[in-house]
Amino acid sequence: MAEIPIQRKKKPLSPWLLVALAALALTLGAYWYLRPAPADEPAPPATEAPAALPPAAPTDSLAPPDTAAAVPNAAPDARTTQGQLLLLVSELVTLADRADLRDDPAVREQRDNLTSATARLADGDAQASLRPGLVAAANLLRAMQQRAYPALDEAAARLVQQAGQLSGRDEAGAEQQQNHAFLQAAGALLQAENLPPAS
Amino acid sequence: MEPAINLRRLRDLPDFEVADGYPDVRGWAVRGALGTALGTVSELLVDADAEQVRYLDAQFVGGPGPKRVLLPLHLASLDAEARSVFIPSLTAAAVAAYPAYAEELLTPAYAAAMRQALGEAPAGEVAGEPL
Repeated sequence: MAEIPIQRKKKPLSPWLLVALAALALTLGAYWYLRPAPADEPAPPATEAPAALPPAAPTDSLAPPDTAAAVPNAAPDARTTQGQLLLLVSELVTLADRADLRDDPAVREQRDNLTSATARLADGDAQASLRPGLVAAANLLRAMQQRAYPALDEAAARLVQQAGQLSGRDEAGAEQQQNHAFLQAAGALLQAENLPPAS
Repeated sequence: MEPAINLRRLRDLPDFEVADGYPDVRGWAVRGALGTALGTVSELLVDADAEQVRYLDAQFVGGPGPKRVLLPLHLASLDAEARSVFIPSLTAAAVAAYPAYAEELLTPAYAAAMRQALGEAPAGEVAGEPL
């Protein structure tokens, strides 16, 4: 009356397939937990420079190179120190973006520092100090010199030292004279670095 | 004379299992004509060529002492809910007269004694393979 057939056992899943699935799961899990958090990604362009900037390293900025925070909203007034600095910034940023310079980490960092340090000036903030921008400009020129113009080492070092002695104010005649001298020296160094490297 | 059957214990065939949709009766109770539990199924003896279970290797627990026996599956009815194997021809007299199984061979003598105990008409001999 009763009947009980038997059958061949079904082939179990290949252990290698299980290993592959486990590896895939581990990979996905690792990716999920180790992927960059949104906070680690580059921040949107800064619209405002920090209120106080350290003299040697004016500020740090994660702004991508093309944000050009310091690009003046209106044409800078070349008769004022602030306007001259902004014109210098524009020239420096253009130079720092040159193909042989833009990939240098130090140049990129100093370029970002400069645009951040002069952001308030570019926004027309009359209370903004000139000093961070002046120091950052000297540091960027120094970085580009170290990258491609070893012959200009002395001039660049002198410019950085000169920037460190500036007060950042532009009211008194002596201060204006110091600023003017610095901008002249910076312009000369910029002109020299605008030439193709010797090698 | 019946053809020889290639009888094997299911546990000795690691590549085989009870077919899908059919119960594995190992561990089920064996019940006789009166419905009382007489013992337990401990193993299945299968015809490996036909891929069918032929005998139940069971342990009777009543009587003077435990006795290992083979029970032909074709005489049994299965009750999955009660986890029981019913063999109506298994009376008290049949249990007493049932030949003990030595778990060595299903010999023609054992097959004949089994049929006699269950009241089956002799139908030739069953030749078995060593288990």
